[in-house]
Amino acid sequence: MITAENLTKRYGSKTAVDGISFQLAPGKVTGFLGPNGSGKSTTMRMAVGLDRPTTGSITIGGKPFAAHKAPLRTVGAVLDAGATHPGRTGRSHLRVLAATHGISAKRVEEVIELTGLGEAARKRIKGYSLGMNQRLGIAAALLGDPAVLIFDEPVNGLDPEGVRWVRSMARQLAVEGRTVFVSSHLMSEMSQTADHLIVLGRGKIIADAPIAELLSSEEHRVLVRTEQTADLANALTTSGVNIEHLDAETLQVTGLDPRSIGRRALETNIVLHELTPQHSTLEDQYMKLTGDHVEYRSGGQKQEKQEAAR
Amino acid sequence: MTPNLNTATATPPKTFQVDPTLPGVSFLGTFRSEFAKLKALRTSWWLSILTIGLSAFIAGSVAISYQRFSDEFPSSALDVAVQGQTGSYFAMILLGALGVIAITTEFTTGAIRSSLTAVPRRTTLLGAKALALVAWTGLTTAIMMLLSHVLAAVITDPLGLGDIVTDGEIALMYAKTWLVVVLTALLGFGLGALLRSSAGGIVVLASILFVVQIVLSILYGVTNEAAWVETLIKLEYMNLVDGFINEPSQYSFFPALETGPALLGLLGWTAVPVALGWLSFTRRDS
Repeated sequence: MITAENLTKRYGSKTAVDGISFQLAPGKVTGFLGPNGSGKSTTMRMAVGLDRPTTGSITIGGKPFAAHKAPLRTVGAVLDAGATHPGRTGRSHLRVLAATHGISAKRVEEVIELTGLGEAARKRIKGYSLGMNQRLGIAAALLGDPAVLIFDEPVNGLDPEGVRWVRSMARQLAVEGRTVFVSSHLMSEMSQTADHLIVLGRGKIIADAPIAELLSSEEHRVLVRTEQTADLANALTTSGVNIEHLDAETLQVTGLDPRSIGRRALETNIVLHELTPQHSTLEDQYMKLTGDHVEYRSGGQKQEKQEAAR
Repeated sequence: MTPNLNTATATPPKTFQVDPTLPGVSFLGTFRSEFAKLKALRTSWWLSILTIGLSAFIAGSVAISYQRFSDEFPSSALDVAVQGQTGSYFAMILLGALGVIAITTEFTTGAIRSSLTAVPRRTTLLGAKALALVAWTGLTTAIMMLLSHVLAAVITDPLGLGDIVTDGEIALMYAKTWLVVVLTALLGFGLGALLRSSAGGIVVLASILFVVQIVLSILYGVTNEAAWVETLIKLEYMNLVDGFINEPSQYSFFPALETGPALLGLLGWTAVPVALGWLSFTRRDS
């Protein structure tokens, strides 16, 4: 269980995380979604004590991370694929970490196999690709077989097979009753991995809900094809229903479900060629949620500057 | 007909439990980890080999020169032993630099994030790191001194191989030299923890070892041996080293403290950067 209470982090005049509170339950993959610079990594770093909160707190199982007797068995974290000494081999990096908790060499070999590092574990880390570094980071996180896993952008640099592996691993770890906290700025990634989403924008939580709830909050949109668009539009016109003519034979209806549209068409003897519910994607929802909370946009200018220039 | 009842009962989500009997983080485990890091660092090996090699070369050269002119300038076994350990001055800068690198490499490579995720109690991590450095540099210094002693003893007449244990004065001088080199490595470690920069730490260390003495010597002459400069000279690091190891009257050109106060001065020089480094390490974000 990870609990953040009124968590704030300021760097000088810049507020990276702005009084956020949340609670992550075990048995779920919780996605931490937000644009670049929204405060995801800072929050995760505070969770494992790398950064000190300016105010508020973040605890693991009711205690600060440093207060746990066996930190590696409590939390496995992948915060930065480059958090290793390039001169060491992958195996030596894992052994060095294992030594702190008396974790056996056998377990080191297990995580090497589990993460597919294999022969690469004998090589110096400076020769690793980003993907291999990610696998090494995940191996280190799994070393203590911990109850809580914190992954900051774990699929960065992985090949498609690696991405699928991370997804299924995150799901499996949650099924085993662990708390899995995964950050990403990729909406598509979260939609395939997470059960619950916390969306962050400019250091503040702008959504904290199950993915299904976020998706269902969007109004029904239905694509309808018929040669009698004018008649159908007349038949469907009631308050709360919005009809948009996309082309001569296509309407987009908002505010009515497909069954009601089909029934109304039958009653008025209108032939339908297509009746397709339009599902809102997580990406649509994400763009809607974060639209006003993006700090950095393409072109490298800060939003405030762009707004000031308008 | 089956009644339309939902007989499913809500099951609470499974919670993974960590076996509380498994070992947690320990100081001994962290020390082992930190020693393994030093062992895996190529720089540790290069600096240590250079220290031993250079010191052995100097000891051999000094011994050969002494033996050639021994009739003209006869010396005691202690004098020869002191000269034979001249390489320890190079060991101070080389192993001091290793002290700097032992901690700064964590920050420059980002490995500190992995280390602190395994050992989030920062005082434990820093303490284990310092102890691993003492173990490594202590061992290197011991090998260096032993090799230098063997060379000096084999080449020269006054110094015997067994004097290292049978001659109390020589044994004490060796022990003091060993302590000074290890303290200098810790001084570098403190500077590294404080500055988090390899280049910065090594430059400050080299300045403490070599530059401050020169500047103070010039100042001593310019101010016509002013009392306040004399005080500074007495407290200057290398002057304290000379005072501690060699007894001031014999080898010092400038006023120096006696052995006891000199040791306190050296401990102070080491303790201040280590304490400031600890404060920085435990308070600053990583």
